[in-house]
Amino acid sequence: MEATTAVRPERAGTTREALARRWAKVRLPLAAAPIGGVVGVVGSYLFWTTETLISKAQGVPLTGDLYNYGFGGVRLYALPLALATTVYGALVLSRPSLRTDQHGRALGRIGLGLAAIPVIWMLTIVFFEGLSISQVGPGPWVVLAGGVVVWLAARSLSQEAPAAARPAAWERRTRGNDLTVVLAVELIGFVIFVYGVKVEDPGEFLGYFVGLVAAILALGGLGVLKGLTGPFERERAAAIGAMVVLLVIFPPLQQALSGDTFWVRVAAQAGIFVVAALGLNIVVGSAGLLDLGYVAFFGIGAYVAALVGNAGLAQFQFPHVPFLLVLLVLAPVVAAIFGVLLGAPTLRLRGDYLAIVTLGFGEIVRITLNNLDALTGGPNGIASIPAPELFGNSMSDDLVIGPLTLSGNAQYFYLTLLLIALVLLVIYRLNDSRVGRAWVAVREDEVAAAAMGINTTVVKLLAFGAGAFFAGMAGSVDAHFGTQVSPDSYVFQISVLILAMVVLGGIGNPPGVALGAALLIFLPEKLRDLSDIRFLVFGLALVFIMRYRPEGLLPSARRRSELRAGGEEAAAESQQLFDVRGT
Amino acid sequence: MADLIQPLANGITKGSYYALIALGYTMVYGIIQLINFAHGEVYMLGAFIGLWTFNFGASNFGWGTGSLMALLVVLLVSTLLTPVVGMSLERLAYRPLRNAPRLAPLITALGASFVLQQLVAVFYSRDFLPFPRLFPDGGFVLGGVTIKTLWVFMVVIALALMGALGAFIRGTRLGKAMRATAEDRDTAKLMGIDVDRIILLTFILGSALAGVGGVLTGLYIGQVNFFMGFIAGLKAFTAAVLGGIGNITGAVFGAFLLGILESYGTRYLGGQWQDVFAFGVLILVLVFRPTGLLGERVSG
Repeated sequence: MEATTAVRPERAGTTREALARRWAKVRLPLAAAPIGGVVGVVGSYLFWTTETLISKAQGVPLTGDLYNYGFGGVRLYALPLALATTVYGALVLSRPSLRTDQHGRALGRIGLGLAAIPVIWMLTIVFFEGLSISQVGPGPWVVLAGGVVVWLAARSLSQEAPAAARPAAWERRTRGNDLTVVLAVELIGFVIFVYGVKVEDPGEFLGYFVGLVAAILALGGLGVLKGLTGPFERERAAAIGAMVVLLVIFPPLQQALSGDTFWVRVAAQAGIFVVAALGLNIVVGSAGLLDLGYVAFFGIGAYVAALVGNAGLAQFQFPHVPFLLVLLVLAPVVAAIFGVLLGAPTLRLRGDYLAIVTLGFGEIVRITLNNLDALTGGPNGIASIPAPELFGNSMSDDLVIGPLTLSGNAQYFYLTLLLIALVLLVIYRLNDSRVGRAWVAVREDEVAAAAMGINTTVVKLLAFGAGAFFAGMAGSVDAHFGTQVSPDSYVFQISVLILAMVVLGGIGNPPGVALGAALLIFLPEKLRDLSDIRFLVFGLALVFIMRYRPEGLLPSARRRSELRAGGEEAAAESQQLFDVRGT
Repeated sequence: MADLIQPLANGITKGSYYALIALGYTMVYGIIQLINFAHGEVYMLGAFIGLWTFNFGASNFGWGTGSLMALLVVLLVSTLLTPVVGMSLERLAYRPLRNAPRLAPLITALGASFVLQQLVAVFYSRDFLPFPRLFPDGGFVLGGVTIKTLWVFMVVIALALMGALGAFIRGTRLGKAMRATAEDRDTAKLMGIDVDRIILLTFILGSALAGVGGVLTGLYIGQVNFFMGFIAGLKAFTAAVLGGIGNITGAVFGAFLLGILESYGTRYLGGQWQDVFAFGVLILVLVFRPTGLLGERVSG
């Protein structure tokens, strides 16, 4: 009896396969696609609630005027998707040449996006605004139905027609084409970003964001995103130049558009975290070591800056040290020393022990900061840290350059831009160096690396120290930026937040990591009504990314092949070796 | 003299629930070499399931504090439901990543731990909630050392469960299959062992023990919180490493040792350094004896 429980052929697999086969046949005729689109348009016009919605957090209507017929509020973002599916569906229906796999996938993704907007909106109002599902008007249900119809209709496409490879006109490799593509993409991205920052209402933003994601996924389905990597690689200088220009004009543009600098401040905060995340990326991405106490180094940098920063409310102050010296030398070096002190004894351990030791170290640092009252001010921390003086100007004062007035937040933003540029330069130089290659070798096979004469402990220690260095740098800016430091700001959750930035953006790929950091700072700010579930979403994101897209949003080519092909090959190999029962 | 022995009694009590959690870490690590970060959250859920069961019983059957019947039902429900959490974790989060690079399941475990924590925080409560005093108060003084009957009860339950686990692993076919899987997964597969089921079984056993540990902690400390699994999980992992991870006897030994060390540390260094002390011990052990005090023996 016991033998049968332990040794049993896998029957679950076959039922699941049968279910999958049946599911694959669920579809609607193609003609339903434009009809679903029209249904979606109608749903965008109907009213969405029977009540006025008041947002708890901000006291403004959560989703605009949704209790009347019309196209306002979150419906504004369902509408373009519905129109797109109508037109796209009709096009695909009328032109046999378009009936390919790719178009089916793209159309299906837009349809799913259309269905997702009302679903997410309904979840939000039910869970966070306290409305009952009966107070939802007909609109969301109709849009949901339309989206599902489009999706099912698109499935019929993806299974019938073979994929046709056809080089698009813009894919031809001429310099002019490449430049146009790069500049156009960056400009469009910038406009989308600035517009998204301008959408104030959290409910509307949710619709905007879902619509945007659906559009990007659809483009991905058409292979457009993959096609873009070519031009961006060939015209790297132009791409970077244009990016810098756009980032530099962001603060004045934002201030002119909205009249305040709140979002510039958010951008500066994002910049600080980009620096920290790039540092963690050296440890996790380049060297493959999981550091779960990374926030400790960030905190050490911040406390160093606070202790020598002329803070007004402090138990103890060291003599003042000029900010530039703190930023570039003192804070990062102190953090790196702590990194080496922790790393030296523990880096000889297996990778997963390291994760837990760093986690413990993060807690030790936090508790120590909390307990050393005489030095750190205990739980109250150090407050009233003045803005640093750079070139004779305090960074909290407006800086007037000719016709332009730069707010304090804008100055912090530019400071972080400079830091990011510096960090990126160092990282790319490091990655191409002997040390960088050693990191990759250690990450991929430590035993083989050691056999090739690499001193793995030293190499890992270098990665650990470099990561801590940049964390300390980011922390020192954060102390002045936030004007205070306290142990509560450097908790385990922040370590996980920074790790999520790295994982979401693309482990090992600096531009991806920067994107991940920016997203994870901006999105919670935009969806502040949902801030309760922020960490829940981060956790889910970590699980889902590892499961479905371990290479992140913007993967580096190398990591992608490692994470994807490596796993699949290993799986296939073990199948061959051990799957001898069924035959 | 009594002053010297009192922390010992406290430490042994603490060690009993550290041990219940540590066993889950050590078994899972022994079998799939994964630090199951979410295990601390399974323990936290064990405490909350106990709380919910009691609240349900209190409003429907008029359970009061100090009711031993209620205590038994609470323990039983928690032991039966926490394995569901553990199984879902393994099935939904870890199994799909069995052949992925090592970083991937580790990050997934971290994410899963966050998800479980936040599910409780968002949909139930972020507060410290009082846990019902199901066990009658009382105790005795032995040579100047105060010992509560609850402590004795905890240690007895913990030891009994560990004994049962040991007997199961050493004496049954399934236990043998577990040991074989831990020793060499591929060979175990060749011998006809359904490795996935064995791994699932490991999660079930570990989670059930953690569930009991959660309820016992609730009784011992008197309050529960969504964040309680983080520190307790870390310490239980420390205990597992202390004894030699993968080694079941070692985990139990490490847990009691850590509980006792911590009690003396608290007594002489002050409560605010308690956690620093535990992690300091972890780092020291890893530096000087990375395979733990009893060495890494697999599921023995």
